[in-house]
Parts: sequence; C-alpha cells; structure tokens
Amino acid sequence: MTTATTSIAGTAPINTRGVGVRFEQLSKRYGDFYAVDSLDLNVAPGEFLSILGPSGSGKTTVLMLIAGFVAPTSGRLLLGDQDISQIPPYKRNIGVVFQNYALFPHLDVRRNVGFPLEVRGVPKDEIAKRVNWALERVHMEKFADRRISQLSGGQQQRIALARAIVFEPRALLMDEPLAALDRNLRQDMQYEIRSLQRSLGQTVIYVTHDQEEALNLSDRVAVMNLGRLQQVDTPKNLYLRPANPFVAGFFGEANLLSGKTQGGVFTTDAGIRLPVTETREGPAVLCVRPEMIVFGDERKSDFPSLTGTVLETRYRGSILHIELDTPLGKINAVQHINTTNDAPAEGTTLEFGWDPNLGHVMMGQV
Amino acid sequence: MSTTIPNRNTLLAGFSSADWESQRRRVTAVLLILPVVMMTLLFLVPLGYLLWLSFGGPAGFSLNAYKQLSAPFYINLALFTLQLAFLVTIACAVIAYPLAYMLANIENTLSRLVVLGLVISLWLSVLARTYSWIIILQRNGVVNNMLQWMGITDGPLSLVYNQTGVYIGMIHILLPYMVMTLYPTMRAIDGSLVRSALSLGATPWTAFRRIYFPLSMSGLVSGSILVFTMAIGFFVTPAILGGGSANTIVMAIQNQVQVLVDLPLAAATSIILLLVSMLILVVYEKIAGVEKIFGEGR
Ligand SMILES: Nc1ncnc2c1ncn2[C@@H]1O[C@H](COP(=O)(O)OP(=O)(O)OP(=O)(O)O)[C@@H](O)[C@H]1O
Ligand SMILES: [Mg+2]
Repeated sequence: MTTATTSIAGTAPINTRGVGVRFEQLSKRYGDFYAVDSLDLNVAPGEFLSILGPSGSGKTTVLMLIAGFVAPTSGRLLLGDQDISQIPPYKRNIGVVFQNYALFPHLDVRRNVGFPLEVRGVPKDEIAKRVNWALERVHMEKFADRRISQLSGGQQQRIALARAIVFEPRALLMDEPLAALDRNLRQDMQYEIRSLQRSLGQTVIYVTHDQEEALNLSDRVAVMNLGRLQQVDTPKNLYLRPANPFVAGFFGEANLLSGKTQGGVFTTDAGIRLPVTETREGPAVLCVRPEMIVFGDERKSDFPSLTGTVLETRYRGSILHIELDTPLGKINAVQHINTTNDAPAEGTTLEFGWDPNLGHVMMGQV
Repeated sequence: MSTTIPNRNTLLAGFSSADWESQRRRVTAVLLILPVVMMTLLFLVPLGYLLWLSFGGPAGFSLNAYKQLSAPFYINLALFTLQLAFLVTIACAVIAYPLAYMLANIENTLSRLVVLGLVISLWLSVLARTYSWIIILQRNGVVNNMLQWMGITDGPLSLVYNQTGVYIGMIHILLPYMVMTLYPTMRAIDGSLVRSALSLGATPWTAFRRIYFPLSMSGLVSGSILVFTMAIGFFVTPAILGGGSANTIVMAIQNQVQVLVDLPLAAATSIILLLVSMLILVVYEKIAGVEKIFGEGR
C-alpha cells in the first residue's frame, strides 16, 4: 500500500506486484484437534495458488490465519519478508473476498468499494478516481449508485472483488467466491478473476473444493486433507505425478496397485511383476490412469501384458468406460470413441497393458 | 375467468400466475376480516367514544375540557411526563446496547442464562417488580445498609418515594424490552461484515461505528419507540415509587376519573396524550427512520 499510493498517475494506479506469502511450520489447534498441522508452503509474488481439499480439511482456517482472524498456535507466517503472525487484521493490507461477499447492505456500491480507501484517509477525489478504476476492472462502472440489495449474485461478487483490489492489497484471499453462482456464470467469473489477477500481478490464494476450478485457475494447487498439506504442484503434475494415493484419487479416476518396487520392476501384493521406470526401492503404490490403458495390438513390446474380463461398459459422451476383472483386481479403462470401435461385450476377454513411462510409482505408501 | 371457483382440472393443471395472484388476494382478504372486525370493535369504537366524550359527550358539544387542559398545571404535568419518558428511554438505550451486544456476540452459558432471565422478567408482574424496589431502596433496605456498612455514606439516602426511585424502577422494568428488541437485530448482523471491514483496513472502532452500529440502528429505533410509548403511559411504578413527587399525565387521568369524576376532562387528556405520543413517533421515525437506512429495497 505505502509504495502504491505514492505512484498513482492519472486514473489508473501503477501496480506493484503482489508479495509472496510463506508459511513456516504453521499450526492451528482447537483443543487437541489440529485444524491446520505444520503447514510449510511458499507462495511466490504474483502467483495464483489454489487450496483444494474436502470439507473440514482446514482450507478456511488457512485463509483466516493469513487474514489474521485466527491466531496460529505455533509457527511463522511471512508476508514478503515480514512476520505478520502478531499483526492485527486491519494492519495487514490483505484483501479478502468472503464466500457470502460480505458487502455492507447500508452503503451503496460506490461507498462499499470506497470503504477501504475512506478508512485509510485517502482524499475524496482520489477515492472517486480509484473507485471508478476498480469498478471498470470488474465491468461494473454502470452500477456505482446501486444499492447492494439491487444487485444479482454475480454482480455482488464483482463488487466484492473490486472492493478487495481497490486498495492494492499485498495479497488477495478468496474463500470459495464462486460457490453460490450457477455453472455458466462461474466459468465467466473464473476467466475474469484469472485475467484480472494476471494484469494486476496480484498474489492470489484461492480456496475451493471444486477441482476443475482449481485446475483452471491456478499456477499451482495445494491439496489439503485432515489439516495437512498433501502436495503443492502444477495441475499437470498433480494428475500425472501425484505424491500419494489421496492426491491420485482426488484428481480423476485412478487404478491404484499396492506392492513394492525394486530395480525397475514393481511387484504387486499378489506377486504380479510389472515394468516401471522408478529406480528407487521399497514399498510403493503404482498409479495407472484409466486413459493410459491400451488394448490388443496397440500395446508395445515393453508394455506389461495382462488379460482381463469385461465386467461392464458405459458410454459417457465421447468416452467409453470399461471395467475389467483382472489378476490385479478391478481395473478401469477409458477409450475415446471413433466410428470403428464398438463396446466389447460383457464377458469378453481382452489383452491390455500400458506404457511403463506413464505409470507412476508413489514411494513409501502402503 | 368465467368461474370464480377453480375446478379440479384447473387445480391439477396448475394456476397461471394471474390465477394464482387473484387466488392469493382473495385468501388474504378473507384472513384479514377477523383482525379488521377486532380492530374496529376493540379499538376504533372505544376511541370514537372517547373522542365524543372529550367534546362534552351526552351533555352536548363543548370545548370546556380542552380549555381546562391548557392550564399551567397540566402543561407542567405533560412536560414532566415527556421528560421522564425521554430520560428513561435514553438510559435504557445506553445500558441495553452494550448488554445486548455482549449477549448477541458472546456464545456461552452465562449469556444464554441472562437472555432467559430477561425473557422471564417480561412475564413477571410489574406490580411485584415495583414493590421489590421498595424493599431494596427503602431507608433500611439492602442498598442503604450496604452503603453504610462499607462506610460510603453516613446516614441512609432517600432513594425511594421520590423521583430517583421512579427513574430506577422504570429503567429496570423497561430495560428488558429494549434488550429484547436489540438482541435479535444484533444476532442478525452477519459477523463476516465486521471481519470484512477489518480486512479492508478499518480499526475495530471504525468497523463498529461505520458498519455494526448503523446495522443495529433499526433495533435501537424500534426499542426506543417501544420503551418511550410504554414509559409515557406508565402508571403503577411512578405512583408507587414516586410517593406523590412524580406525578404523570396518566396519574392525572386516574385522579380526574376517581376523584374529580370529570369524564370529559379525562377523555380529553387521554386524547391529547395519544396525539402527543403519535406525533413524537412520527418525528422520531422521520429522523432515525429504518426506511432511510435500508432504502426501498427492503
Ligand atoms: N472455532 C473452531 N473451534 C473448533 N474447531 C474448529 C473451529 N473452526 C474450525 N474448526 C474445525 O477445523 C476443521 C477445519 O475447518 P475449516 O473451516 O478450515 O474447513 P474447510 O476446509 O474450510 O471446510 P469446508 O470446505 O467445509 O469449508 C474442521 O474440522 C472444523 O470443525
Ligand atoms: Mg471453508
């Protein structure tokens, strides 16, 4: 804020990039229950990071820790290079978009968006300029004089966003901001939030329980479960290189085989040997995505060679799901439908395999 | 619409929105008959009778009663009553606001017990609550004994049978009404609004002043109206705790009926009291109106 206010030229503020956020062994305990357990996480300046996890996994708690509404039990929280764990919320300069928007019902749109500037003692004409700037960014300049009760859900969402960026916060936090909107609107808003964040260079930490949303929006996604961070990675790596079975199961379907790996060979608990590229050794879980599975002649010589009986087939749009009973247990496969292939009849025996380069070994998991 | 009563088919086929609208209006009209009849019988008829009585009643039209009321005696009485009601309302607001705030925002057993206590106190007889203040405030009552025992005062203070006693008693009796109107308004204020204000850079005091207080205003307004109207018509407490030193308009009316047996005068006083109360409410609504805070949107 301090650097940003002085550098305003014309109506559009020159934006400083957001700053980084760093969690060091941050924990929040309620009684003897850890809502957030030893969180280590580094969010880069200008990064869009989503926090994804099932209900009760501690996502909101993480946001409230950053915003300052929840005090950490232990650990450090750094904004830029400043430890903010002891700083009250109103001195943190962090924008928060609440799930229910939290717009002030007794103030009109203009006063709502101007509120953070007013409480900072910004002069009136300056407030007017910057409110207009923020409203333009969310395409709501025509609604400046409306009351909050006269806005639709999506419009309120935009105003909440404008209010959270108008004071050029050091980071922007959003707690399931689109959860209450319908599907189409949600996609539009996703696109707008993303392009706004890019153009402002704003650091965004975005909580959602919608994987598709997290994958669409984020540079990286932090997956949480039971208060613990499971993995932080790019959307692609979360899918192809999940750190553990929880993450593998969270993003799409996965065939998970437990066993141990040694010298490029994975041996399942039932004793079946499968080629892998993993060179480490020890107990592990092998993850094979349904779309990696190929049948019959499509297999290459280095693919594992297995047979299975078709249990069930289902069409879902352009995709055919095949459930197989195999020596590995039940295996799910999917195939893209083209004009030449027909669904195999139930009970048919099929030969199948996959590219060992694509199979992913998760070490140390049982 | 050819028939007013929809047959089975139209019922099954579902109403068009126009049908639905007219149906609803008809139901509303039927449901309103009873309250309208009750209002007329119990409220408007007696009021009309009172008005007729105040202008002379059976003895024929005269403005005599109203002329009598312009005497300084009655003017002073009215001013005192207004002052009493006004100060009691202010005191109740000042005490009730922080109390209701704590009850609404702190969730523990104690605050639930206090709410329960307040609700129960609304059921207790005003007479009983008034008399208990005599026991507490009299010359050798709990308060005076305590003060002397602690060495704060040398002799007993006169706390009752004077205006002090009336104020204490009325504030105590009317306080729960203020708290119980403020409490639901405050409960309904979304906590994320204040949190959001803080995250936007408002200090806790600014967040309270700019967000919480304006949103609790509607409760404060209706609580004040309730307490003020009740205070202006209070009889039992000023009569018992005042010991003759806190005469209000209502006590004058009682006197007019029972001692002077001047029914037109009593009726005229009642009418004036009613008009003054209504005028004050209208002015108050204009100044601190709920409508203004939320606009026509709600
Ligand atoms: N004030 C509190 N006291 C005790 N436990 C709490 C408190 N606040 C949160 N918790 C617990 O901490 C855990 C994490 O809560 P949190 O709200 O962070 O979950 P979440 O991931 O945001 O879930 P959701 O997707 O349902 O919003 C939950 O089990 C919750 O019950
Ligand atoms: Mg949550």
